[in-house]
Amino acid sequence: MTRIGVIGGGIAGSSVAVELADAGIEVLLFEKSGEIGGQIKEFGCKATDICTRCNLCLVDSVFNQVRRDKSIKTKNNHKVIDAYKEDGLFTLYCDTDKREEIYTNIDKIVLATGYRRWSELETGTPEIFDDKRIIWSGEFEEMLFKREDHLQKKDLDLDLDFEPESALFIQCNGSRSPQEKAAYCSRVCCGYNYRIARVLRESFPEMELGIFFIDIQEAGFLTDLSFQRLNDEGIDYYNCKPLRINKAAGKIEIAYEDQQEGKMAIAKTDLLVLSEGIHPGLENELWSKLFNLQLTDDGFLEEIVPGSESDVYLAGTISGPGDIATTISKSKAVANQIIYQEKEVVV
Amino acid sequence: MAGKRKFELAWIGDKEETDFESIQISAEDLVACQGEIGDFKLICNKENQPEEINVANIIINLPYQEEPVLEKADSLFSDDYDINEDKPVIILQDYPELSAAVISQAGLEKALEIKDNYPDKEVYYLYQAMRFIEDNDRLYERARESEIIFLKFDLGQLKIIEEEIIHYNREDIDLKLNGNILAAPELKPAKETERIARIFNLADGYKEYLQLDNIYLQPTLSGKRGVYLLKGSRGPTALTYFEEELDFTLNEVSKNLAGVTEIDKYDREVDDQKCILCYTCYRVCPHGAIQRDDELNSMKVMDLACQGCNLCLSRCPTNAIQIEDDYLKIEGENEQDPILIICENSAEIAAEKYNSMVGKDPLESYQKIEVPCVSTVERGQIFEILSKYSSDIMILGCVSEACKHLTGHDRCQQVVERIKEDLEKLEIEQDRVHYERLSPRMAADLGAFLADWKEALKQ
Amino acid sequence: MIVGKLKDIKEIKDSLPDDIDSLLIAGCGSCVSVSLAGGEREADSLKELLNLYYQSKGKSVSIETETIKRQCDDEFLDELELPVARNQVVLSIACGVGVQHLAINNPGKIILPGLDTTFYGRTSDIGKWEEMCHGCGKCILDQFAGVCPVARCSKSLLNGPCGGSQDGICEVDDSIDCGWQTIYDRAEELGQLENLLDFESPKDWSTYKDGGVRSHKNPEFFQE
Repeated sequence: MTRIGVIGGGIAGSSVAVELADAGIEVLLFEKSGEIGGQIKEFGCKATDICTRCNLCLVDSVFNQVRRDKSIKTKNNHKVIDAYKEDGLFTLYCDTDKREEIYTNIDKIVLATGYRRWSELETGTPEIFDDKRIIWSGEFEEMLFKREDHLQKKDLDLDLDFEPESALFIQCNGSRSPQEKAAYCSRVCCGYNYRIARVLRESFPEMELGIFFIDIQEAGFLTDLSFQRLNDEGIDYYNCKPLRINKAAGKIEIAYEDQQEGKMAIAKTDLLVLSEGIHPGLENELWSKLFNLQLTDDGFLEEIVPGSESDVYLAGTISGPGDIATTISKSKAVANQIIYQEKEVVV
Repeated sequence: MAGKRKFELAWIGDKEETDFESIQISAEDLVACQGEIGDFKLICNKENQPEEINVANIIINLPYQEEPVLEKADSLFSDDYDINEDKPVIILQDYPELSAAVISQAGLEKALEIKDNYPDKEVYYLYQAMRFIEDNDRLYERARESEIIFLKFDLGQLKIIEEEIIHYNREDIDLKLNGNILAAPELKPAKETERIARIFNLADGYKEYLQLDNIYLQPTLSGKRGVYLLKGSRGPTALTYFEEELDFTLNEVSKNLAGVTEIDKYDREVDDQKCILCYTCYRVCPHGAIQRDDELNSMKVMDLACQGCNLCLSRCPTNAIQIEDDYLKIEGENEQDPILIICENSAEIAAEKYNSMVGKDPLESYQKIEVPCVSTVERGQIFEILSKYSSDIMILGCVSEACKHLTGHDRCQQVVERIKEDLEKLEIEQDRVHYERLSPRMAADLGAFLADWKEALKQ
Repeated sequence: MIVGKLKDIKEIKDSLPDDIDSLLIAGCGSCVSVSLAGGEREADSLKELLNLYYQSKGKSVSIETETIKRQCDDEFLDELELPVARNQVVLSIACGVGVQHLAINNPGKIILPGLDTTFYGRTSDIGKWEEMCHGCGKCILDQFAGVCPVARCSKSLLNGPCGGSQDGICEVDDSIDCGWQTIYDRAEELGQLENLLDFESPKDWSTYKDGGVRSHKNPEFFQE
C-alpha cells in the first residue's frame, strides 16, 4: 500500500495530506513542533463587519480534517534530520524528544516546511525593537487571534500598555532589499497589513492610519487594493520608502521624502507596525542536499527534476512567497499529481 | 438518444490545451444549461435550431474586453505598434486606475523588447506601482539596468494634455512627454457575461464579473459544482495566477471524472403534487442544484449538485421539498437551557477551537441545533420553538460575505427581521430571538460571549 | 397572476373574535403561493405565531391549517369541508376571490381574510412583483407596442404622457417608471412610433368594472 511522507504540518502539508487521504492513500505527516498548524496557527481573523478575505477560516477545517482522518498518521515532535532512497523507497530519520525514530518504505516525499518570518531571522535585529511602540505584524495577528470585540461588541484589545491614537504600517521589511538578503517581494504583506489597518479603522474610527509602500501589491483573490480604496477608507498612504526612524519621546518620527513637494517630511505615530515578509526556512539547505533540489538565489527550493521522476514534491512557501488561498489550491494540485501517478501505476 | 457522445469538458469561450476530450462552445451560441455535474446538457444555437451537447464538466473561460484608456495610444498588448524615429516611447500603466499585476509583467516585457530592438531609443515607463508575479522581479531589475526611465506617479497626478502629450510633474521634474504611447488597456468583463450568468443561474458576481468575491469559491469555483470560472469570467486580478488556477481546475475536473459523491446522505425530494413551479427554489438555490423535471412537471433537486444548505426547503411556499431528516432537532439535556442554532461553518468550528484552547466546551448547558447553514432557519419553526420552550434562541451564522452557501447568512437575516417585526407588532416575546454573526476563528470571542449571555439570561 | 401580500399580523389578530376557541387557517396553493404570501408555509407559520400569541395571553385556542390547491374552484373545497365544520372561525389566506368562494360555499361560517390581494402582476425578481394589467376587458396592447397605458400609466392616459415625468420617472411616485416613456421607448425599438400619433378615442369602460360586476360564459362549455 502506498505511503506518502509529508514533511511539515502547516497549511500546505495538511492540505496535501487531506487531499491524499480523501483519495485513499496513507499519509505520514511529520511535524517538528508539538502540534500541526504551522505559522498561521495563531493568526487572527481580520473581519470587520464583513469578511476581509484573509482566508484564515479555510485553514481550520483542513487542520480539523487532519486530526479526524485515520489514514493520516500525524507524528508531532518529529524533526526529520536525514533521509535516503533505496530501491525506489525512502527512509526517514526523525529526531523526537527522546530518541531517533526511523520510518521506512515511504514511496514519495512532499516537502512543506514553509518559511520563516523576518522577526525570526537571526540577522541582528536592531535594538530599536525593544521599543514597545514598535510591533511586528505577526504580533498583531496573534493579538487578533484572541480578539473578543466582534460578538461582544467592545473595543478591540490591542494588548498594549498605551492607547495609540495613530498607527503607521511599514511595508517591505525584509523584502525588496539586497542588504536584507531578500531582493524579492514577499507578495502577502501589502494584503495582510491593509486588512489589519481596516480592522483598526473599524474599531477606532478616529485613529490616524497610514501605510508606507514601495509598490502596492495585489491583496489576494479579487480584493482590489488600490490607492483609491485607501483614500475611500480614510487610510493615508506614502508611495515611498521611509528613510529614518527617530524614537522621540512621545511619538515615533519617520522621515521620508515627500515626492510631491520634493522635500523631506516627517510622519509621526504612536504605534509602528512592521510587515514581516516570507523568508526561506532554515532546513532548505538540508533538503536541497538530501533530496537533490535546487536552492534558488533567494534561498527557496526548486525542483531540478520533476516530482513525477524524483518522487519528491514541493508544496507551499518552501518554494517561494504565496498567500493562503493560492497555497491551498497549489497544494491540492500537488496531491493530485501524486494521486494521478498512483492511478496510472495501478492501471 | 443512444450513442450520444459525452464530452469530458466543455470550454465556454477560449480553449486551453488539455488531454481531456473537450469541446469549445462560444458564449454567444450557448442558449441553456441543464443537468448537473457529470451530466450537463448544453443547448446551443445551431442556425436557430437547438443542438444538445452532453458534457461532464464546464469551464467558463471568457476573454476580457480591453478598453483603451487613451485615444491615440497603442495597446500595451499589441505587437503592432508604431515606433517613431525621433520620438521617445512611453509605456503607461495604472491609468486611470491601478492595473492588475499581469499588466506590470506585460509592460516590463514590452519595455525590454523595445529597448533590445532600439537600444538608443528613450523609453519612459510611467506607473503607480510595480506589481510582482512569477519572476518579473528579475525583469524589473533588468529594466532598471537597461536605462529605462521609470517615473512613478500618484493618484490623479498624471495629466494628458493633448493626444500624445503627457504632463508629468513631480518634485523638481516637470516633463511634457511627447512620443509613441503604449498604454495598458483597462480590463473589463466579457460582453456575454450577463447572458452566461443568466444561463448558469449564477448569483451577481463581483464588479460585474461572474465570480463572487467569496473565500469559499477560491480559486475558480462558481458555486455550481462542475462549473469553473477562469480568466475574464473572474475578476481583474485573475491572470496573476492563471497557470496555477488552470492546473487546479483541471485537477478538479480529473477528480470529478473519477467520481463525484453526494454532499450528505439525505435525499431531498420534491413532491410533484405540491410543487407549483413557482421557481422560488430555483431562484434561491446558490448552487444551481434545482431544475425543472420535464417528465413530472415539477422541480427536482439534483443530488450531486446539491451542497446541502437547505435554503430551498426553508423557502418553498408549498412545503413541497421534503428531506428525510429531522434537520431542526434540538439536542440538549435540559429543556430550560437557552437554545443555540449554530452554523457548522463558523460557530461549530469556533466552539471546537475554544474547547481545544481552554478545555471547556462553550456550548455546554445550552440546547443545540446544528445546521449546515443558517439558511435552514424557518419562521414557523422558530415560533414553534418559542411556544414549546421558555428560553431564548440565539442563531449563530457566518460573517457577512463569508457564507459557504453564498447567501445563507443574509437570507437568515431576512427571516429573523420579519420574525422580530411580527413579535413586536403583537407585543409578545420580542426579545427572545437573537442573530449574531461570527467567523470560525473567533473562538475566544465566542467563548466569552456565550458565557456572558448565559449569565445575563439568568438574571 | 394574482399577487397578494399577507396582512399585517396585528390586523389579523385584531380581526379574530375575542371569544374564539378554534380557528382554521385555509391556505391556497396557487397564485398566492407563487407570490410567496398565502401558501402552506405561510399558513403553517401563521398558525405557530398565533399559537404563540394565544399561549402568551393564557388563552386556549386550537388552530388548524389546511391548504388546498385552489380556493376559487368548488371541487377543491371538498377537502376543506370537515376542517371548516369543526372550527369556529376560518381565516383564509387566499386572494379575495378564494375568500369569497369559500364564503359562498359555507354560508353559515365567518370567513376572514388574512391576505391583501394587491394586483395582477408579473414576477420581476424573486420576491418582487409589478402590476401589469387592470383587467379592463378590452385589451389594447397592440396599439401601444405591448405596454398597457391603462395599467402602467399612473393616470391611465391613452393619448400621450401627462408631461410631468422626469428622466422617465412618474411624477406621482419616484419609484414608478413613467408608463408613457416605456411605451415610447418600446415603440421606437419596434419602429411603431407612427402608431402613437393615431388618436385613441375614449375607451369603452363598460367592459371594465365601471360597467358593473362582470361575469362571462364560454358557450362551448357552459350549458344553461
